[in-house]
Formats: sequence, C-alpha cells, structure tokens
Amino acid sequence: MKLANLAWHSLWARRSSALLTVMTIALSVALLLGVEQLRLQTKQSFASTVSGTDLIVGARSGQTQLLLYSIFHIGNATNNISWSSYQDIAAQRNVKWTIPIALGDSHRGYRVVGTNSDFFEYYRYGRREPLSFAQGNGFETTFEAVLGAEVARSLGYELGQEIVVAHGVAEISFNVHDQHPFEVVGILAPTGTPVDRSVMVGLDAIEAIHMPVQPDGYTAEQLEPKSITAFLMGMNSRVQVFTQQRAINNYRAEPLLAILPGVALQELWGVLGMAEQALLAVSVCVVLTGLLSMLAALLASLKERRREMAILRSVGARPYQIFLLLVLESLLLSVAGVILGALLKYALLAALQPFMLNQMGLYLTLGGLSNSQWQMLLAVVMVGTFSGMIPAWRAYRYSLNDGMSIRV
Amino acid sequence: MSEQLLSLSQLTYSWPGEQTPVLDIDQLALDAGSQVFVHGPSGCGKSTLLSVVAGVVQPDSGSLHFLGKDCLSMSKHQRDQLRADHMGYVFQQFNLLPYLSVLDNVMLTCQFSKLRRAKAQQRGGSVKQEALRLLDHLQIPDSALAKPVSNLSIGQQQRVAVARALIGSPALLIADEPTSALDSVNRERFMDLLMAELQLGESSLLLVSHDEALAERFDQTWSLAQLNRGGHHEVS
Repeated sequence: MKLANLAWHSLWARRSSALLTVMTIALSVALLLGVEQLRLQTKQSFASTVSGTDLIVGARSGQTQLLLYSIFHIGNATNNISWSSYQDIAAQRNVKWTIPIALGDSHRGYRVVGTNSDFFEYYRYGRREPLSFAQGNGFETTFEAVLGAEVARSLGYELGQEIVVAHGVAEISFNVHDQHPFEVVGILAPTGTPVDRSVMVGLDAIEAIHMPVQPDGYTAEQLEPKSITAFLMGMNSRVQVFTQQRAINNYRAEPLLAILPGVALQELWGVLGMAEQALLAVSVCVVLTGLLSMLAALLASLKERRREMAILRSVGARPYQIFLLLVLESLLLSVAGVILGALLKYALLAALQPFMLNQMGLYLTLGGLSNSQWQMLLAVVMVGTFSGMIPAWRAYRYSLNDGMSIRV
Repeated sequence: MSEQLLSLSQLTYSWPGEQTPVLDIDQLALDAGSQVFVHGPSGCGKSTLLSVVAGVVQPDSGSLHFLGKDCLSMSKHQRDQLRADHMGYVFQQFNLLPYLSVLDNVMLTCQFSKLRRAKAQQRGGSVKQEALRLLDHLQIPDSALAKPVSNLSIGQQQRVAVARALIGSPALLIADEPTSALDSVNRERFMDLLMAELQLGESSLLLVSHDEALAERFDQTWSLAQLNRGGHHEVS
C-alpha cells in the first residue's frame, strides 16, 4: 500500500510524460479492441446471413461461387437453372419449401432479386428470424416491388414511390427498363444481411421488363419464367438433406449443384478470416509498440531517478521494494492505459456506428466486452507489468551497487 | 554513557574488481550519545566508510559491531532492517523526494520501520505530530510545508532531511557532507539546529566533512587520512 502510494505520487509528479505513455497504450488498446469487435461481429453477421435453409441449388459451378452470387450478390452466375428443372425438384415430396432467385438486374446499384412471395415467408437469417415488414406488405401484382431497409433509407424511398429497373448491375446503365416502372409496396425491417441492399420483385416482373411493352397486358404464359439463377430449399426432415443433395448433384436433365449453406459459409470464412487475422496481428503489434514506448520512457527516467533510489535506500527501503516500486509504476500505467483504451473504443464505435451501418450494412453493438476482449485487456496489463520488470531489475542492481553514494 | 554504539576493527574493503583496498582501518569506536567528526581529503574513503557503517556494502574482512550486534554475520535483509530501525542518513544535497510534500518526506522513514513509527508516536503523539515538532525545531516555516520541496531553499531542504533522519529517534545519525552546499550563514544555522536537536534526543552523530572548521563542535575527530591505510590519498 505504501509502495503503491509512492508509485502513484512518483507518476503524478511526471504526469505529462506518464499521460503520453497512457495515451499511447490507450490508443493501441482501443485499436486492438475495435479490430477484435469488428472481427467478431463481421463473423457473426456473416454466419447469420442465411439460416434455416437446408440446400442452395444453382447451375454447376463452385460451392463458394454459388454461395457468393446467390446469397451475397457478389459476382454473377455463369449459368442458369431451367424453370422446368426447378419445378420438378420443388414439387418433390420431401421438399418443404423453395425460394427461387433470379438475378441480373439492378436499381441504382442495388441488386434486383426476382423471387416470389415464398421469399418473405421462408427466408430466415440470424437465429432463424423471419423477414418482417417495416411498412407495407409483399408484392401482389406484377409491377410491385419490396425494398430492403438500406435501399429505402439511403435512397429516401417511401411506399408508393415509382422506380425503374436497369439491366445489369452497374450503378449507371444505358439499358433502362423505363417502360416498366415499379411501385414500392413494402419496405423490410433491417436484417444486417444482403437482403437490406436488395430490391425484391416477382419472377413474372423480371420476364415482363425484358419484353417489349404490351399495351393490352401480359398473358400468364408470357410471364412464366424460362429460367432462374438459383433457389433455396428447405426439407421436411433434415435427415433427407444429404440424399437430396446427392440427387440434385446427379440430376440428369441438366448439371446442377446443391450446397449446404453452413459448410459453404465456413469455407468462405476460412478465406475471409485470413484478412481479419492479419488485421488482428497488426493491431497486436501496435499494442506491443505502445508497451515498448512505456518501457523506453521508464528506462530513460531511470538514470535521473538513481538519486531517488538512493534516498529510498537511506530511509530503509529494501532493494526488492525498489524493484516492486518500478513494477507497480508500469502496472499503474498499463491499467490506466487499458481502462482509457476501453473507453476510447466505445467512443470510437459510437462514432463509427452510423458509417458502418451505411457503408457495410454492419450494425456495431456497444454492449459489454467479449471474453476474448477481456483476455486481451488482461494480456496487455500482464505484458506491460512484465516489461516493467526490466527497468525494475536495473533499479534493483543500482540500489545494490550504488551503496550510500548518489551517482548521477 | 561510555557504552559503545559502534565499533570496527581490522576492517578492509575494496570495490569489486579492484586489488588495493579503499578501506583498511585498524580500530575505530563510537560511544553512544557522542558526536564524531570525520574529515579527510577526497578519495580517502569517507563515503565508503559511511556505506559500510550503514550496512549497504559488506566489508571483505574485519569486524563491525553496531548496538552490540555483529553486523557482518547478518543477512542483507537484517542489515537493511537495522538501518531502517536505527540509522538516519543525510546526503550532501537533494535529499528529498521531489514528488512528496515536505511532511510526507519526513514521515517516509516511518513507512519502512515499525520501530521508528512506534517511537515517533510515543514521542509526538502521532507520526505527523512528531514530524511537525521536528520541522518546527529545525525552523522550517509552516508556510513551507505545503510547498513542493523544490521550492525550498537548499538550507531548508537540508534541515528537512535532518528531520526525516531524526524522526523515531535513531541510535545513529550519519551525515555525508551535509553543509558543503550551504553558504557560511546557513552552515552555522544548520549546525546549531542539528546539535540542539541531538541534545534533546539520544542519537549519536557521525558527520563527514572536509570543512575542518566544524570540528570544534564535536566530541571526537577522526582523521581518515591517518586512520585509513587504504584509499588513494590523492588530493585534487
């Protein structure tokens, strides 16, 4: 207690340099915690993009590619599935539900997803949460559209807004289907998944916009889709999933690929996770740099503090108490740095929250620290205290060797 | 009063890695309650002698008794304890920890020795009362107590150092050139107050200085240049 008091007074007397050290540690700790939080939450949000789906089916390509274009809307399908194959598989007895997906069009940079009302009924994300409407409802007639939360928010659309769809996915397209405006009839609640950045229309509408305008309306036959990009499916029983997967992969009429979303997500994360690991490694290095600067500051101050050590020895301090005094100082600096760093992290996240939601569709929570973050804080304090033993050891040697003479 | 507080005989010490001893003393003794003036030129081993007496360096051979105890058979820890409990030390200058108040500097001694704390409480009522009493006796004005120690004059700093060394009535006060940074007026004042305070307590004094004008105030004078066969004896 008396030593802690001394350590505190000694640091307080050098508070401007101590504060710099604490700030250095705090900034690096805030970065470390922030990166870890980002890592945990992207992983979580990534893994919860799609749930409750047993199989994703598309034209034969790669497992990762199919996952990327069907769920994340990244890249394009190399081939489509014929409507007849889809209907054949969807009608099989053990299939509980299917969600057809037809991609290829966009609205001001946002993907247009051609689907049907089953999308709103069966699509699940996160912990098997269904989609819900913030406003309005699903589409009923051909030229009606449902917007993802982010599309509506960033474009400022409301119910009743008329929008046109462009061919292709670039933000600026020369091939605008402007003869066929859509009316917004529903806006979904935010999900934190790519659905937020999608415009949902009926499959028949996708057919219609690719046709010349029919002033008299379209016949049902005209609007029947010829092909779709992919479909999601749920089985009546999970036991049948593997059998069904094999059956689809061996489908005779055309080459198809069925993937298990969980397995594909894992595989994809294996690739993306590398980047996150690298980011984490960099921030660990930044923390080490922060601790090194503390070590440098303590070592630099040691020389001018030799007198202080001799004074303490003269009033009866033992060499081990002088060792402890310096270790306590680095402990105090590390703890102060860690506490300030944690607070800084919250301030940083609160400031970044709207940006991340807008740009990345990632909702950063400001909840308590995760286990891994607590472990990191503990590790920083431990490494900081441990590195304080280096100047402490030198002070210990000084106090043994200097005797009662003051050397400066 | 003729009880021996400190005695050393056949004592030699050389700094690590050096052949010739810096200290080689046949016989020295200090009676309890007496004041000894140690003088000698630079390099004659004065500081080393004080380090040996204070127990922070261990002589190579000989014997050293303090308060009837054989110091050379003690462990480092025991010698640290002995110093904390029974010795006060005043350096040439810069005696005070810059980050503690004047009062905390004086009370610092009692943080490292239970015995000194108990003695200070017994004498002053509390450690703080005793510290205030000593500071008052040593003519440190009340207005200086709250100031940072760096704002004190050197003379005041040296007197605060004496208060810290004397709190809890140690058996021996060791002072290493305590007046060499002071002008003549402050030196006389310092010595007057130091001697007056020693009269009130039971502490002996071992004071090292090259200023032989101080010698007349002491019971006894050791001329280290003559007593010590070791050392370099160069006068610069």
